[in-house]
Amino acid sequence: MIDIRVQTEDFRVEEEWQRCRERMSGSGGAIVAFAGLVRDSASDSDVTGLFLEHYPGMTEASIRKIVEESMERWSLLDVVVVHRIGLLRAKDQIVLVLVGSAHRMDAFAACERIMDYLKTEAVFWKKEFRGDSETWIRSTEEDFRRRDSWRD
Amino acid sequence: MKIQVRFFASLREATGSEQLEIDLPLGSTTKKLLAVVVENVDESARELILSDNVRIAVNQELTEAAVTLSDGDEVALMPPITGG
Repeated sequence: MIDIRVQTEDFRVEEEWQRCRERMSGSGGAIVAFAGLVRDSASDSDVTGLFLEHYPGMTEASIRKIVEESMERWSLLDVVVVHRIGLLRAKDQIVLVLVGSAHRMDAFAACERIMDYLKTEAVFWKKEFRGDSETWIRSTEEDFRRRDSWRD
Repeated sequence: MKIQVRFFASLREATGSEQLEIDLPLGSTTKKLLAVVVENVDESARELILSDNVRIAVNQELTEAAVTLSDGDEVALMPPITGG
């Protein structure tokens, strides 16, 4: 099962985890979780907040494509991606990725690939607030390098 | 025909609107649409809209070359995405 949600509300890892665990029934042997948080000191400058914008429909489709590619590559039972939008503050949760599979190797690899692709391919725009200034930011060279490392 | 144009992120801010309805002759392309859009926005937004890194999505599908539009199409003008 694939569960993708883009929302302003925060998420509860425990609730998402339990739902993922129950959906896998007895065949699941592993769940790998990644949660992304808002840092308050990106690039040596104080970040006071982050604004995330999305394109309803296209954003969810871009995430689904990333997840489906991972499901073709590894044996996965359940994938959850919850991504927040709107105004977020330092230490807030931004994204949750849960990957359930029969074996841990597939879940570890898929979770990492999904995140590396989310950082470059998912349809979001991010604005950083630092003091009085605000800047629309871009994916970094490192983000693209990590994405490309998964290509055959 | 009527085309719904959507602006995102820096383009939304530069144009001061999220959406614009543009009336075009039947058979018009995205190239023609862009030419009309820039006539309907402030000068400060024109340069951004015409910059090389703006991507165009027609009905939520990214397009590279000029595409012939149909009545009711939704065209998004998208600055570079940041990812999640």
